[in-house]
Amino acid sequence: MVIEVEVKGVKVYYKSIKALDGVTLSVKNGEILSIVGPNGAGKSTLLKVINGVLRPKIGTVYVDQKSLSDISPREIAKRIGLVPQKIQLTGMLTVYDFVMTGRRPYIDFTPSKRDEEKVYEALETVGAINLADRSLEELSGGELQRVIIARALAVEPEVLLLDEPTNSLDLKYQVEIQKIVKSLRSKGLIIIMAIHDLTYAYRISDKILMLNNGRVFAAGKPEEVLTPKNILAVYGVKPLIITEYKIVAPAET
Amino acid sequence: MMRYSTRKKQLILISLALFTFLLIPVSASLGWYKASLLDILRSLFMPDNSQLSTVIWDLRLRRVLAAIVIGAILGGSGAAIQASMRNPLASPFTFGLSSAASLGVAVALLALHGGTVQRFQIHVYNPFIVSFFAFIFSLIQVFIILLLAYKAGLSAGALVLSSIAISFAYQAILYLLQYLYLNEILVSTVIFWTFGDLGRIAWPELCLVAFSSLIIVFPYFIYRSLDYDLILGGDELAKSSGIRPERVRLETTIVAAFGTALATSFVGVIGFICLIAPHAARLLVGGGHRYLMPTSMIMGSLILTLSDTIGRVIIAPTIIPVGIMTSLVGVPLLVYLLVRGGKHGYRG
Repeated sequence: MVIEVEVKGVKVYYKSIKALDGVTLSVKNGEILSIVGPNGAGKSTLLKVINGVLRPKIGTVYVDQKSLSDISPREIAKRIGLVPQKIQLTGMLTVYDFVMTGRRPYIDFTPSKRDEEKVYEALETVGAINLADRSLEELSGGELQRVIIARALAVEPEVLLLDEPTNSLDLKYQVEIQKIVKSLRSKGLIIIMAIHDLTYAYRISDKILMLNNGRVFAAGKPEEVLTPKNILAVYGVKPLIITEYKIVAPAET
Repeated sequence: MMRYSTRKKQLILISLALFTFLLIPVSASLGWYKASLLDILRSLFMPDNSQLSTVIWDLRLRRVLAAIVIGAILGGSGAAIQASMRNPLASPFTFGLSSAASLGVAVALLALHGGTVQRFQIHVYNPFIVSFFAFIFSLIQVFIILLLAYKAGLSAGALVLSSIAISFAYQAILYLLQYLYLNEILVSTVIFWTFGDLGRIAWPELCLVAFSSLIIVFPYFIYRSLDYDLILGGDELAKSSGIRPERVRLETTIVAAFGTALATSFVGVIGFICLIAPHAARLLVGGGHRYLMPTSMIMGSLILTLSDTIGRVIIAPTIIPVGIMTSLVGVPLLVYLLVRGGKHGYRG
């Protein structure tokens, strides 16, 4: 069954400043879409719009052909899992308790057996089951990122949104997260992520959306979007692109 | 199969509850009027017209039950405010809700004739008016806090320090009222009253406090437990799970203000229980509010009952008001938390 996320002509204003200006995109399940672009291009804003947290002034987001503005926040929360750029590490919460918060849209008063199972299933998927009773504050950067992904998976989402998932992770963990994200794609999730690292985007994505000043500058397959011309135009930096290894780096050393 | 850590938390919770329950007759047996535990139990279950029965039922039992109910309100309110504001220093007392409520009580008693001040005693004519005013005044403080947090964007520590500063203003107004309305003897009574004391609550007032907290305060805090976990992770996460964190914060501080106002109306300001109990509970059962919330409530009951019992027996027949006892323990803890800053289970 094909499920699709479609964003059509979305415009968002912060006060009078245009944050997104007529953004349109579509992703199917089993695909990874990366949103790239310089700081302030509107990547995080676009994720918020797809998450239903920010209502666009004009335009619509459809998940599985339903407009988000017609669904309650709780129903949206059951379909979309968010991996934010960072979380607050407060109050001595255990990994188990934290991942359980992903089940909130399903829980009225107290977690059921099924909620508990889903928490373990999510931890299992990211290989973090042994961390269940640890406190969030004790985790390493890579462990924490896996746990945050587990929380988003506990939602049983159709769509997974990741905001800079590899930010501040070392190479080993970056590879680890890449593997997890790819395995989730093969399970049929729709994956949308905002990412700075162009090499990472090149290697992992099926589609790339390049934003500049709130507008879609280019969209399509990685090799179509990540061209020297586009990168120079958007970032103002001459790039070195090695297609054989899917590497994008500044040409200047 | 149940998780090991869940079983452990349940065990801790049940043991604490049991211990607090057993403390009722033990605490009732201690004091100036000596009685054995057996006599206490007899007059508890088979009250007669003896002097002992009167002492137990009219003085001690009421006092212990008040400690349990009010301790639970304060402990639960502290845990809820700390989580919803993501602030380890937050509590009804450090946010000035208690001082605001006590000013409300004074206004109701003195200016609106909700009761009279006589030598060594305050008579409450209308408990509803008194609590209503306490609640209104603490609501004013709720809005000041939320303004400071949202509009001025104060950090956790600054918010608490400015709230403490504001509570000095409430005290100043309280002193002014006393200065205008009372003579020297009455002033000493009111000053005596501003130290929290569990001995002054009467049965109908206790019933009012217990009933209101059982139908509003406790269920609300328990119901929000998972949302408090969610908000601890950040507002962005809460929103993505379909929760509006601003609304939870507003509701939580209003419910906490309501509970604090009720408690303060009839026993005065009892400081620091609301700050200590959640921290102690967190050390025992961790940060997940499914267990932290009930444990904080029981911890509040337990600490308040113990403090009051110690205050009653330590230099008997003189009874040290429990507000003084809890402040003596609480001030060092507050300073410790301020010094440790972010490190006490909270960061960012």
